Amino acid sequence: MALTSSNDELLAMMAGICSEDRNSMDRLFTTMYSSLYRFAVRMVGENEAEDLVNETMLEVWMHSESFNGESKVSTWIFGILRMLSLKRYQKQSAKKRDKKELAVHEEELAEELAQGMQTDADTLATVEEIEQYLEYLSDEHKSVILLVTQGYTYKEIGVIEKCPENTAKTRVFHARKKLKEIMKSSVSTTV
Amino acid sequence: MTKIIENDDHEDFFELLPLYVNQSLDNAKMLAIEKHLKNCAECQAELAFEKSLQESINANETDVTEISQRNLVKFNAQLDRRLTEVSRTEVSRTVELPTEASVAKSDLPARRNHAGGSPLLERIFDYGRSLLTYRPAIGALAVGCCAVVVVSALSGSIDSGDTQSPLRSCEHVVKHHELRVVTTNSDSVSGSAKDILQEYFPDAESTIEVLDEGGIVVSVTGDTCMVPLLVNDLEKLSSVNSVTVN
Repeated sequence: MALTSSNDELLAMMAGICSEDRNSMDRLFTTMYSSLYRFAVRMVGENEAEDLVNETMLEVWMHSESFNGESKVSTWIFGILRMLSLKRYQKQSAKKRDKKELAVHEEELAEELAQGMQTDADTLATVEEIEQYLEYLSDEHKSVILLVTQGYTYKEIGVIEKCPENTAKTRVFHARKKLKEIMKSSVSTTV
Repeated sequence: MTKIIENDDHEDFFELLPLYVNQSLDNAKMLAIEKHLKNCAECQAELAFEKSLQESINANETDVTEISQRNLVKFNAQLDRRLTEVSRTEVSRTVELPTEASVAKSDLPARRNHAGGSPLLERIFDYGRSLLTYRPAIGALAVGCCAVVVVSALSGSIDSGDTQSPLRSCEHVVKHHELRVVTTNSDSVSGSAKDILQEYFPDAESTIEVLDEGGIVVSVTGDTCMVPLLVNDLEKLSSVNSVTVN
């Protein structure tokens, strides 16, 4: 999803934030909120998304001086959000492993997938279905698919995911492939 | 002749289809892909999938204005608290130091030292300076614009419009507050209320009383501006029916 403000406008807000101007921070918060929140909801769920975005914006304020303008402002902020969401994901995964719930969880998901959805693998029937399919992707794959949808290039995705551009490109390729496999398996189990 | 797409083969076009759909490629690459698409059935099928995928993800977007406004208030409270913590640390550091002369600027948190310290501002001005050298008119304009932005920001004259923080317009007064929480699960809510109180009033005196007839009463002496945030978080708890401030 394209941002409503250009990078130049966001740069002006960042300049204000570097000078400790709280109005600039408020404007950046309001401008970026929608895209950050929607990404966060899909990465960590509705319960944690609001906290995650606020935490991200606090980091933006506290570390605004480390932004050097090499990437777009939105890319830098998404990089922070991604880093924080990864931390939460790792924490959640560790908890699940501790409780040996991960395998059970995956089985439950596979069952839901088999029972709940019917679609053609080449076209996505409903918006709700795509939301469910995304849940079956790994954290990394889900993230790159969402970032492409937000209008980012492979180079920018590399900056956000902290990996080289070519790795980002390969990751997007595999994520799409995986998504198609999931959709096809859903079709074959429901037919 | 320079090739627009790296190897000009099917694989390269195929890999760029997601960026073709999200329109982040330059015009030359967009045109090259369109040309390739005319004669490639596999890429045409992939394009249909990619379009469908991106449209489906973007379609499921509800209005988040209310969530954004609510969280802006919460964010400003969190930032105020964080900055208070930073300044407390600064005060304690200063007190611990033996002489005034030894209070080095570098000891203070980086966030406080802005004058000339920001890589972003340095880059903006460097860019303007380089333009001044090679293209004086554009350079002068760029430096002028940057100066206006920075001076506006420093003087706080950037129009805040509707984004003015409600916390800043709130008068910070310490008072005693009593909140009546109607709930079907007093024990669970009193536990959660304790955590929320700790978040907004970490140093304040507070009590939580579970009523025999059901519900709880939260009493706290602290900043009035934090009370709406406390009420908002209490109302969000699943078994809470209502919160009334006395």
